Amino acid sequence: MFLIVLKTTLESLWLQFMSRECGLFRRKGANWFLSFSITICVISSTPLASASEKTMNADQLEKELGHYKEIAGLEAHFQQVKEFKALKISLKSEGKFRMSRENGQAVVEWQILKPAFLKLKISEKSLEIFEQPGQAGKPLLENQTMQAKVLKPLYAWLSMNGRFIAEQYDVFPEGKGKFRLQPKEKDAPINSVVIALGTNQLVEKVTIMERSGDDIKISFTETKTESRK
Amino acid sequence: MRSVLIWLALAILLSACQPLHVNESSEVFLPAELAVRMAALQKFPGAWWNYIVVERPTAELCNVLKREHGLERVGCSYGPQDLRELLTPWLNDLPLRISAPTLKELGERMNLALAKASAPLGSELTEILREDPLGTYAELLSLMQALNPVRLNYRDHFLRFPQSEMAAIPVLFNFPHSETDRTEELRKRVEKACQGNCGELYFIGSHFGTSRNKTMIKEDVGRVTLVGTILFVLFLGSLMVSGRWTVILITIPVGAGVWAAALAVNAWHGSIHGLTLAFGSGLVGIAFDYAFHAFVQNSGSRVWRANLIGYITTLVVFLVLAFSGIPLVREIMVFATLGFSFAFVLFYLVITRTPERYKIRPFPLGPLEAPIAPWLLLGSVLALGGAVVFLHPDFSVQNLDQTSRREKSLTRELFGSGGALPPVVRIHERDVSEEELQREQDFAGSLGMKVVNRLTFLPPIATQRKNLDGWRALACGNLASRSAGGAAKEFSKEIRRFFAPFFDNFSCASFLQREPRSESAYSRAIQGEGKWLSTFFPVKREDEAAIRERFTDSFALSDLVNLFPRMLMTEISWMAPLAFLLVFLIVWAAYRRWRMVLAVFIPWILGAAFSTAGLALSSTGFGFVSLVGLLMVFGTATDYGVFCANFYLNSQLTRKGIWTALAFAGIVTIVGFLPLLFARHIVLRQLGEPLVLGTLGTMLGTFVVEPWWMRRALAR
Repeated sequence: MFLIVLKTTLESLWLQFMSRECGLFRRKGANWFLSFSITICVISSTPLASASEKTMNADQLEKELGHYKEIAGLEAHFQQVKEFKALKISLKSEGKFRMSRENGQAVVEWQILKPAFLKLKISEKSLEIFEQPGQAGKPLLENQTMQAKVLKPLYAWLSMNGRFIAEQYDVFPEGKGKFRLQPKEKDAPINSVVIALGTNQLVEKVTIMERSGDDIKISFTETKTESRK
Repeated sequence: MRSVLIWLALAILLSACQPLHVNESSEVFLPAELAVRMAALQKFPGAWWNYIVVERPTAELCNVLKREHGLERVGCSYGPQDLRELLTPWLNDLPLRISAPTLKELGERMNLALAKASAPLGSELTEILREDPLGTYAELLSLMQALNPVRLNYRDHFLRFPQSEMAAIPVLFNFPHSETDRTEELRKRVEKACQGNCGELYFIGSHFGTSRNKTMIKEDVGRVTLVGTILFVLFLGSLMVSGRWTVILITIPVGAGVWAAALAVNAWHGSIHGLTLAFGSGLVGIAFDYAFHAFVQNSGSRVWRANLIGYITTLVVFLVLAFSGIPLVREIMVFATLGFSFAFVLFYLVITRTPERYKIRPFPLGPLEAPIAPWLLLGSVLALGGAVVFLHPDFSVQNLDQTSRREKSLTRELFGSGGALPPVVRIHERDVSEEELQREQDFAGSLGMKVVNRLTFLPPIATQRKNLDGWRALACGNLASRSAGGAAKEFSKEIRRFFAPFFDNFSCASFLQREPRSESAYSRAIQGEGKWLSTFFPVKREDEAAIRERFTDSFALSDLVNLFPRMLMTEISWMAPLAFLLVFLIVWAAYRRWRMVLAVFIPWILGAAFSTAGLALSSTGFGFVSLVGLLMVFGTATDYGVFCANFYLNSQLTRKGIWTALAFAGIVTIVGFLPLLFARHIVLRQLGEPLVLGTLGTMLGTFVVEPWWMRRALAR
């Protein structure tokens, strides 16, 4: 951690020198010294930084999310804001989130009610879309590559299964009841997912940073659970 | 007689004026009517897909493939971006394809698209939704996947084999498979890009197959030539040392026979197939037997009587097979008949006119008396019977393709139907009527199955015009004013910004340039050299029959592929007994004694037993080329049987001469075909193995078993 702080401090110093003290670079000795020290610092701190950020393993995560194991079903209302940064558009949506278990496996229904009805039914192996209430589901994408690309990471955190999450993401604790998930797959559409648990040990807020730079903020309210018998 | 020779020489000279055109087409495996369909089918770009199967696909490999100029499309990391080049014209043609929605409908579809865009599905999908709020891209993806012959599923960016998890990268060439040098260079670059990082690497498809076969045969020719030259030099050296070099002269009439047959077939068909030249020459080479027989024996009429019986028995087999419905078999047999007859006549004319010039001193050879003879015969009869029951030939065309077992199993997995019925296709001329295509659509619809034809991509011109008018009204009316921000009641500022690519594409001005048409970049998969392909996807077996009944010109690709082995098998089932019966009758007419007739067939029984035993034990299998090999064994073995029987019936023939002639004939056949065993290509080994083993068996039958039989027959 110390090295990260040092690195950040030196980087900001470097930027300050770049912007305000450009005259320094005309002095070869100073230029060389500064570049050298920062380069050394950046090189030495990067691996140490990642190593110093302790990841959680599947067991630890399952322990933290132990509450979900005792739940047979869950329903919540969600409100979501997706920021399309490049377009400067905020897309607001809301709907219902429902998780149930079929043969011990979590099945998630993500039902958007505004701006239009759209239901996604997500299980460990499939992602179905329902464009109208009562209509038969069909695969979200005919293209199975994209389907596979989004399915596993999405299912992992929606089902709150510690084992699946640890399979798909590196998990970093960020304070009590808060985790940052970083996809293990390099070209996943998601950069990171930050999950914050509420006082009831259930997910209250989720922030998704997409690789495109867009982000999604979701907050869950009116959560109702059904315990396992 | 001199005038006959002059005429023959003149005929050759006239024929020689035509250049020899060697073709390598695969249509020769099919009857003319189906060959035309096969040729037409190969013109469609879909037929140019090949697959690189790799254990660990790397980014470097994909980069190399995407940079290749010879590849039109590469299925590396398959996703919407790979369809971008098709998606743009597809969306541009949207107003031609579907009727214009009302403003309300458009608003609803846009809201749905926004709902989809709210999910964390990545920027690629968001970009498509911005351009295509009506969600028609899914239809394009579905169409492209339906036309894809591969039945694997996409997983982790690649088509994956279910068991091995290996990735199949589809590559579409932009040149035909006959350009093997370009394919070979590409293959080498791919191998270099992998440099051992990709694990197992295989190349599957017509381009790679043709290139691999050609390269391997080229390498084999080098190896076979080297071994052949060594053996030939040794053989020649032994003849020179023993003062019998004149034997070499017999190669001239056989060479002339091959050349004359090639010119005649070329003049008749306008071309000659490479396989005819390769395998037909071997059949013409059977004529060597008669020359050897005449060279070492000095009893003109009796020798030529035996030669004539041998010649007719072989010729009969060629003639029966020449009635085959398969052009390749027919061509080989016509070639063999002409060349074989030409060489025989030339031998007769030359040797009988000046027999003293063509005479060699026989070796001190004689028959081998071995108590094992009856057991050899019994064992061979049993082996032959077992072969008939247990040895199943595989005459499939794929058998001529040099592939490893692994490649074969991967190919089966790649193109396996996975339980789905094979598609049935029709090929139409460029000016096919919309009514005919509509009939296909209606018919498929009535049976609840899918058909992909030109109308699937773009509806009839009248419908397109109607759709276009609706969209033009929408774009130049309400939409124009709203997108310009005039009356933004239905579409908010955010919606207009989000769907800006859609609104830009459907501006009023853009509609002035749009006109109905029948083809586009995305319909290229079903277009080939001015023809259109219609593909039906039957759901039930009955559908398949119904399509064929309704559209009599329809056919399945599997029909074409399986027809050659099926036809050959059917033909062999009646041609082989007929040929055997005719040969038997000829031999009967010549000898009229059961024991003599059976004696003639003894070398063949042993030769066939050795050949089939070799085929059963060999990894190359019993293919079409093995059949040609067996035919050659039959031709030579019957000759040996006749010569041997002739010798025992004519005591005045030179005792040593016959055995020298038979030994020469056998050794020449073995020396000629033994090098093929050193080849790597399956076709060459399939020919070499039965021939070498069969000739060994034939010689054993001639030198050991037939003399034993003849002595017993004559004693009675």
